[in-house]
Amino acid sequence: MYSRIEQCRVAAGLSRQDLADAVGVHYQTVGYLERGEYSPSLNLALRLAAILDTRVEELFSLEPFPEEVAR
Amino acid sequence: MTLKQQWDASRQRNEDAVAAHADKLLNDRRWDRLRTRGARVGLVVGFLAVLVAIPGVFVRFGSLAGLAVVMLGIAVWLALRLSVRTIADLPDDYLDERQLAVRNASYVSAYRWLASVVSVVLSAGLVAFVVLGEGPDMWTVTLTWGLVSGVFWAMLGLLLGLPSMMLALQDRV
Repeated sequence: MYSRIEQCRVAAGLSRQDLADAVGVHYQTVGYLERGEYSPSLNLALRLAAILDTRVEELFSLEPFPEEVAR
Repeated sequence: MTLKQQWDASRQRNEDAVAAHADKLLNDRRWDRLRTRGARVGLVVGFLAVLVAIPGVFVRFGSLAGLAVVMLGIAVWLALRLSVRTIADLPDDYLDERQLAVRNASYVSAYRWLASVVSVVLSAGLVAFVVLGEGPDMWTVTLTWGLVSGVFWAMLGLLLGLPSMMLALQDRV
């Protein structure tokens, strides 16, 4: 799975710990989510999207995001 | 304040204390040196070595020496638990969904390993009994206090430590 959490988190000016506290997970879990090494539950995905003020499909994708393809 | 209010307040204080303790254990970075891949593998190997040594020390050198090795095993077990943030032992309420998934997978692995080890040991014992014995009921196993103590402490250590060992080897917490 591909994730844009890190870009959205940095754009929102949040640290991993801030985001972890906001959605109620351990800071390590945010790292796993950012690296695409953990697929969250729908509940957690929706909470992340709400905190980062975006939509779930903007955060996660089964295909690489366009900017990753370009790299 | 009624008795029920006192009971509720006491329970709340207890829950708050457990939550604070769990939070400290999960986020304490003082023990990060124990959380490297090498340190975790070293702790697992060390703990297994102590477990294997316990029965032999009890039988050969007596209870006092055996208990000293048990103390060493407890110290290694505590370090092993810290290296995996005590995730194997914390209640579900204090873990997030990824930690819960990793913890549950570690218990499945622990059960499979335990079942395999016990099956192999029991089967080997049965085969040895048949091969080494000269006939039915011709082979006697003498249970001494040292042997029983050693096997007890080694099995207890294995049962308590196996989930943390699996977590340490998975290296995902």
